[in-house]
Amino acid sequence: MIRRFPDLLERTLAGGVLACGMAVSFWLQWDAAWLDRHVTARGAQLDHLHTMAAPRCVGHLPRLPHGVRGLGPGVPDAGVGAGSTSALAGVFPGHRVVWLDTPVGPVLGLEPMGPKP
Amino acid sequence: MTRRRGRRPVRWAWLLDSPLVLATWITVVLGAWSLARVGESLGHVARMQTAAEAEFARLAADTVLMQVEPRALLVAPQSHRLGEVFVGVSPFEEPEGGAGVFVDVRLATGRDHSFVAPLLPGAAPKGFGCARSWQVPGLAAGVLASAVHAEDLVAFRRDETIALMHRPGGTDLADFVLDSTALDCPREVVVVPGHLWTEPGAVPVVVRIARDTTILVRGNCYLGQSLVVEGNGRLVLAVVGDAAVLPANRGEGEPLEGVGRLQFGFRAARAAGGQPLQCDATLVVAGEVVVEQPAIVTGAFLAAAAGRRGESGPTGSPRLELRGERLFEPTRERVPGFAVSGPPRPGLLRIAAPRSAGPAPENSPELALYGAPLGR
Repeated sequence: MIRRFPDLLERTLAGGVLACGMAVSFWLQWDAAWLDRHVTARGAQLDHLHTMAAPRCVGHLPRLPHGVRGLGPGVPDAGVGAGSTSALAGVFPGHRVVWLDTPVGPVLGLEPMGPKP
Repeated sequence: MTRRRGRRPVRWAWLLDSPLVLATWITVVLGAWSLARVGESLGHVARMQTAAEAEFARLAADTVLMQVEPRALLVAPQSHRLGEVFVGVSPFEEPEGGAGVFVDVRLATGRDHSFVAPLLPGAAPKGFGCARSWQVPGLAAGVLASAVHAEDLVAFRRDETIALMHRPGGTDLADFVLDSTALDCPREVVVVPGHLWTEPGAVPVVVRIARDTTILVRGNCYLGQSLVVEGNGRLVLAVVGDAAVLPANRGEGEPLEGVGRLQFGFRAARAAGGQPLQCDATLVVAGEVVVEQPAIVTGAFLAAAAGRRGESGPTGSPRLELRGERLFEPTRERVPGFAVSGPPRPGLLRIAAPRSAGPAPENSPELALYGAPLGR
């Protein structure tokens, strides 16, 4: 049977298989690109958080690159906004990043969203 | 067409003869490539989630720490809830001495993150957080009495001749040379009872330190060569000077070169077109600053407004480049040997191994908090 191919049925089947394969491949690639966009956006938010965070954490968590200073509330940030935490919306599900007024000055912290228990 | 005898027909040709098989091959290759691409993206997502989770845990720990009275942190273990995050705080004895807190953060995902933070008596001088400060900060009380003397450390070599090689009249005090070495100091502050030199030469002086260390120079400091700092610590070179260390038997009329002066390079090196010196230390200068050779300072530079010489070149170009790359966080970090101000506070968080790896203290609220299933 194989020796008698190609015939119309086989060509049709081949076209169908190829179309399905390409469609699945396109869907997977689109999905991967969506994930990459998501990761890039989250990465930008985390970078912004690191830039804003003063004080910064030491140890294995990422520190600011040399020469980059942390932003306090209201300190202009050319990238995203004026030391704004609004750019961090959605970075941590269920919580928002806020500036806390503490005796030692403003410190970045978390505030739970939604109804309080 | 005749076939040569003994030669077998090619049996794999059917893999390419049929469009269906060809289409299947193409589909398999496309699918594998796409799956690999998706797998790579999922890896990125996992790494991003890990980074975000660590940052989330740190923010939660900081939020709780900064809202509790620091002294109350030392009394007894506490547990707090922040949304769906549980934070346990307990007193902790720092390995190098001093009080601290251990913070356990249990996230809604069930994963734990642990941090430790020292409890600081106050804020360090603000100048340590800036590339340039015009105020010279004060030393902590009793720092000279508790510091290690340079004579007791192998990193410092006493040299009687170096001053005569570079200064016609020599110097008034003992001269110490800092060589490339690991500065293993039992305490955080080292006192140099005289002048400190880094010898001119082609090879920079490399100092490896494991923790933040301050060298208090009670005479002058002559940086003849670049000073490179390696390791986890930051080096503070404080040229504070002290008239009390000047020899009492100085002859009348002998030139007094002064104390608390910092000199970058020597004229001979400048004439030879020497490269800019690089200094990785934070510099505190109580006296005059003399720039004989262009220099780059990557730490903070704290010097009084008066007494600068040669900071700008003949055309006004800066000869002292202050990069401010290795700074302190004065509100949350301690600078060894310097006075603090303001209320007590938790210092910067450091990542720690989860305490569950070791024996848990009995009757700890953490046991009650984490032992029972959480109602989520």
